[in-house]
Amino acid sequence: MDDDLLVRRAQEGDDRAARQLFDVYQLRTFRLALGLLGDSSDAEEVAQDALTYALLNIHNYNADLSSFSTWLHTITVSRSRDKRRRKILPSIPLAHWLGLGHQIRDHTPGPESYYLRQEAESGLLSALDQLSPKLREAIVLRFYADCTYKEMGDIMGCSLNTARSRLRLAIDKLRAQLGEEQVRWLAAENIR
Amino acid sequence: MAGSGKHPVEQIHYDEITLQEYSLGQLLPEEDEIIRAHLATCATCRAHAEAVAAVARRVQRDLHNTLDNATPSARLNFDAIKAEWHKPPRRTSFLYRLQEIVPAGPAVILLSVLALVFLLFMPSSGTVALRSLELPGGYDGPPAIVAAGTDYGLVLIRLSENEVKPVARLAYLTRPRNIQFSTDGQWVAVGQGSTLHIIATQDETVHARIDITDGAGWAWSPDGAVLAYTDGWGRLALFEAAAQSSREMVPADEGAANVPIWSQDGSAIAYASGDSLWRLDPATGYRSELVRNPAPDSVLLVPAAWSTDGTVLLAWDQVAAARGASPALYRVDVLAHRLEQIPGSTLAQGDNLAWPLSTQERVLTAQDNRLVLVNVIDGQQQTVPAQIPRPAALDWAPNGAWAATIVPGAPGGEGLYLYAPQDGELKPVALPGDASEQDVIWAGPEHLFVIRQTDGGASELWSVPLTNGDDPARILTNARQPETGTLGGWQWDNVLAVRRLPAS
Repeated sequence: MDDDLLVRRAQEGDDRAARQLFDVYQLRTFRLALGLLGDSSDAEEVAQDALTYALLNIHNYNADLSSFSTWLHTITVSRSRDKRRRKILPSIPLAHWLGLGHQIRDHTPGPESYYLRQEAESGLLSALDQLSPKLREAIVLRFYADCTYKEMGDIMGCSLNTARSRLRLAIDKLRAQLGEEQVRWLAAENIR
Repeated sequence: MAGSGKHPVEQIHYDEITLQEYSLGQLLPEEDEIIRAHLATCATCRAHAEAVAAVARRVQRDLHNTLDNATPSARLNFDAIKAEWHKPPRRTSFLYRLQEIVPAGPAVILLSVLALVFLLFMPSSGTVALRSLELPGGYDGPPAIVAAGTDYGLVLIRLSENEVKPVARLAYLTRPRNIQFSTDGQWVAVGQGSTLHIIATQDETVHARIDITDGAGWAWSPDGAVLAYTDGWGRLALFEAAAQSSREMVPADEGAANVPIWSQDGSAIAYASGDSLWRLDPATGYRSELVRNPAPDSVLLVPAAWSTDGTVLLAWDQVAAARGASPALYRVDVLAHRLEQIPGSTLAQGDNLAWPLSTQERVLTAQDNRLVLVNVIDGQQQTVPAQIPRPAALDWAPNGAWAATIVPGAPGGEGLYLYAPQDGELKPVALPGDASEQDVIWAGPEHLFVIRQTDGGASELWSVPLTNGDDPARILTNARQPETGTLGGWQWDNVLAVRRLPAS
C-alpha cells in the first residue's frame, strides 16, 4: 500500500494504517535523528516524539503542501533542535520527581553509540561533529536523506538559497577541518 | 577565485559556488556541459570541483555506512501512539467507528435517537461548566475580565458593576496555557498544544490560530493592539489584532526564544536569542544586541522587565530555575551595553518572576537569608525588616508604594499581607474560609484579586477590596488546578487569568 493511501486512511482514524506508517518510517526517522544528534539514546527519544506527534496530529497534515516524509522530517529536525536546546537548559527527569531515581531510563551506551564513537574517532564524521547544528542539518538532509534544496529549506525553515549556502558553508568547513592534503588524498582515492 | 557570474567571460576560473553546484549535480544539463568542457582544460577548477565532489561522496558514504546499520531499541515503539489514538481529541471519527460495528442505515437511526435523548435529558457541558464555577449574583469591584480553565473548556467572564456575566465558553481549550488578556480586554491569547489561539472576547468567531512549539512565549503590547510572540522555532513576530495579520521581525534561524518583553511605552521589545539579549524596535524592525551572555554554558539569560524610562532591562537566569535553585538577577544598562549581576537571588514562578519589578524600579531579592529591595536604576538597597517573611508570590500596587504578598505555609485565610517599603509597615488582610492563598494580582489602587486553593484542590478567584467596609467575595471556584512548570512554581496563568478593564 502506498504512503498516500496509508496517510488518508490514518487521517480517517484507521489505527492499523497509522501502525503501518509507523513501521515504514520508524527506522528512517531514527536514523535521521541519529545523524543530527550523534547519540542513539537521544535519537530514539526524538524519533518516538516525532512519530507520536506526527501520527496523533495527522489530521493537520496537508498533502498539498508537502510529502508525508518531508513533513515528518520537518518535525524530526524541530524535535532534534528542542533536544539540543534542552541539553543547554537541563530539566529534572520525571523519575526524579516521582522518587524513582534513574530506573526508568537506561543511560548505558548502546551498540549503536559505541559504533558511532568508533567511527567518529577518525575522518569526516569527526569533522561533522565540529559543525554547528544548522550546518550539520544541511549535510545530513542533503547527503543522508537525499533532500533537494527546496525540501531542505522547507524542513529547516529557511529559503532555498539559505539551504544552498548552508550546505556550501558546511562543505567548506569540512574541507578546512580535513586539510588540503587529506582532501587531495580523498579526491585521488576517488579517481583510483 | 571570487566571482559572481557563472561563465568566466572575464575571469580565468569559475567561482566556488558554481563549481560546488556542478560537483553536487545541481546545474542544468547545458550549464553542466559548459563547465565540464572548461574543466577538461583547467586544472585549477578541476582540482576544486574534484575536492568538493570527493568530500561530498565521502560524507555520503560515511553517513550511510554508519546510519544504515543503526537500529533503535525496543523503546521506540507504537505503544504510546496506540494508547493515545482513541482518546480525545478523537482521531477516529465517530462515523468511522460506527461503520465498523453496524451498517450505515441502522447507524443513522441509532445516532438520531441518541441525539434526541441527549438533547432532551442531558444538560449542556456549558451549563455544567458554569454551574461548577458557582458564579455569584452580584459584584462590586472594578470592571474586569476573567478566564477560568475548567474540564469543559475555558470560560470567559466579564465583571462589571453589580454583574458577573459569562461571555463565552471555549470548549476546545481544555488544556490552555499562558492565558494573556490584552490591556483593553478585547483579546485573549492562549496556547494549547501546538497552537496559539488569539480570540476576540466580544465575538469569539474572530479567531486567529498560529502554529507554535515548545519554548514559545507571547505578550501583549501596552496598548493591547499587538501581540509579540516567539513560535518556539526561533521566529519572533508581531500579530496585529485589528488587521489579524502577523509580521515577522526576527527570522527563525536567529533563534529568538521565550517571552518577548515590551517596554512600558511600547517602543521596544527585549528578547533572548542565542547567547545574547536583544532590543527590537517594533516600528522599524531594527534590532540591536544589548549584551552577550558571558557564561552561555551555565547561564540562560532571559529578559524580565524594562525600567520605566527604558534605560535598564532586568534579566534572570532560567537555568538556575530549571535546576530548582534560586535564579540570579541581572541588570542590563541599555545605553552602555553593560551587564551586571544584582546581589542576591530571585524566585521563579513558571516562566515568570514571582517577584516582579515595581513602577518605582525596585525589585525584591534574597540575600543571605534576608530580603533586600534593590533599585535597578541607582543600585540603592533597602533591607526588608526581618519579621516580613519571604513571599511565595508578590505584586506591586500601580504606584509601587505597596506590595501585596502571599506568605507560604500560612493557615488558610491568613496568607495575604500588604507591605509598604517606605515605612516598613506590614498589614495582614484576612480572608474568610479555609482555602490557602496562592497568588495575588493588584487591580487598581484599592483592589486585589487573589487566587486561593481549597483542601480538595479546587482553584478559586477572590475579589478583595482594600477599602474600609467592603468585604472580600469569591468570584468563582472549581477552576482547574495548574501544573508545575519545568521552571518550578505553580503556573497559575495556565488556568486563571484576570485583567482589570478601563472604566467605560
